[in-house]
Amino acid sequence: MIEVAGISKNFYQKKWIKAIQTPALKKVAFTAADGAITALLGPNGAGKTTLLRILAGLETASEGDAKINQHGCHCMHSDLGFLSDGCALYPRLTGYENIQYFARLHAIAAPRMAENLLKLTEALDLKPLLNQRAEQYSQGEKMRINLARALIHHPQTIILDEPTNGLDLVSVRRLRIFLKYLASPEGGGHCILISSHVMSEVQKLADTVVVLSAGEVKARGTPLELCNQAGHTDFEEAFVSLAGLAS
Amino acid sequence: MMNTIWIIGHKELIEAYRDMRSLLIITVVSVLAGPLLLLMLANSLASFEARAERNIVMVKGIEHAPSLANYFARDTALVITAPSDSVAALERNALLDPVLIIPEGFDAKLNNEEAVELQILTNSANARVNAGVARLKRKLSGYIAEKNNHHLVQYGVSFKSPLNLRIQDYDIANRQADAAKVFGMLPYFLVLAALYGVWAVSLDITVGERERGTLAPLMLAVKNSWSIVIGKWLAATVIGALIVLVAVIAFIPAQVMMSGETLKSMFAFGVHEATTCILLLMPLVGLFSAALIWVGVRSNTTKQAQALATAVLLMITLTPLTMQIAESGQQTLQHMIPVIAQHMHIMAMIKGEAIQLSDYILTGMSSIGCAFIFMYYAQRQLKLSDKHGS
Repeated sequence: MIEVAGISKNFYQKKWIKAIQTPALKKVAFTAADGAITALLGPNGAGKTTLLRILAGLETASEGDAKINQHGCHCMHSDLGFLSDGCALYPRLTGYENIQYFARLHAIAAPRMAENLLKLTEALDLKPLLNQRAEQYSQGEKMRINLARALIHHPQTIILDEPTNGLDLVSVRRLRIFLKYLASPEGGGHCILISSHVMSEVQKLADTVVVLSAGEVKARGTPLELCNQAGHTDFEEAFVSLAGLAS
Repeated sequence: MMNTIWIIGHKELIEAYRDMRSLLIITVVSVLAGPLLLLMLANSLASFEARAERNIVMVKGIEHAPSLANYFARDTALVITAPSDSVAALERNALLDPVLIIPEGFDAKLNNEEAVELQILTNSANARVNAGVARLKRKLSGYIAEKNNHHLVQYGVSFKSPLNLRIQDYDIANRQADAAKVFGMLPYFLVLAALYGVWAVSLDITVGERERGTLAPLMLAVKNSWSIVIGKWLAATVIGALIVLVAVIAFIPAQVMMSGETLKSMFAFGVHEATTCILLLMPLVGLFSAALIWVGVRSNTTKQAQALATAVLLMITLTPLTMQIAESGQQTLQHMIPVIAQHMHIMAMIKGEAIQLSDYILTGMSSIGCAFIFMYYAQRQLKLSDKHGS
């Protein structure tokens, strides 16, 4: 479970001797439950990536607190799978070696790694990619290997920053099925938090949606609840209305 | 922790090995630079030797040897009387030829078959003067041979011994000291080879990794930032060490390319010298890789890292100059300053001086100590960038 309690984040830009403060997040609070997929939905620059990086422990919040499975974000979570950037692979290693490297760093024994990799290979159609060097991959292929890299240690909590970026339709469908499986009781009831700005994807995938705009949580609920809240039948219209965006 | 260090180091080595083109360029440059340096020196000294073939003989006391003056005249050599302060003139490079000193009663003694000693004053630190010695010796040998023939024709017997005429080289400079002057740039080259060896790989595995976006997942997967820094440092040091090894060993066969006898006699680079250089340079490779890893970790872009690394390069190039400025005293202090210490010891090796075990230990310990400081700051920086965003 991820609990976010009043997180604020300010960035400072130095201009001569003066530091200009830019707020990226303003008292963000929400909960992402186990066994459910929570989506952070917001326009570009809403603060989605900053929030996910804080949750992964890669940045500190200026204010507020966040906990993953009762632990502070700066305790390293071996049961946290984080996908920050779809291109983040070692180009001169093969797909298999990229995944194996992180499995070894997470101290996953070889048989368990093989078992996890088999599941991921089937779910993400990795077989043709495993023996190729990462420098030869397309954007979508990089994303698939990167997902496998983030999930190889079978983490309880999964945080994915725009996981469908660069994926084709078939890969998006495969990923959707796989994430739903991971969140289900049969798949282990994982807590999954994703960020996206693609309405259709969020609507089909998320159990709960947190609408983030200009660093603030504007609304939260299921896609249907958000539509009702905004008084629109169309989810996209509801989002534009809730996020306070000019249509 | 050791397992994590090994996993990280091993992966970095595999990646560096697969970047064969970069590795080959660095290796080829390092291997060729040494022999090219020697070839350049050999050619410049050979040109001095060639220029020294001019037919001038600088003599002191020619009035004591009319027969020799006659021989020089027939040999169309221009005899110039050497100044009274020849030694001082040679020392300050005011003379371009060696000076032949003829003792009083030279002719009389030679005719009586008494031992006669001729002195040749030379300054082997001045390659041009030194090259003229061989030419002068050839002239004197010709003179002895002619004298011998005359004696044989005149008396039917040869000299008692042609060795009655002894030519004594009076070398006012220490040969090894001369070598140190000629090969003064060798320590610079070797120290820079240690830097080049780790430059690309250290920056690639730090700031390169940050730019590729793989640093964030790595920091999430590895709890201890020391493990990341040490693993990367080990990989960079191993690669740098191999390149230095090849660069140093390349000097041994490269000596064949030296044509000039002067240079050959000055520069004897064998297994002992190679081992000395390797022992001195290995801790420096460790220091450079740690320094560049720190540079890479604290930079956000490769451009920024390269600018900072250039400052490191400038510091490394300029540091030995401070040794030349403050040459007297402070020997112990200089032994403890990396780069200066390596520079000093390699120069001492070229001069033929012995390097004590304590020198190796002190030099190595100071370099490793500084490497540790850089690694401490690198892992600290990694933690900070972890908290404040990479």
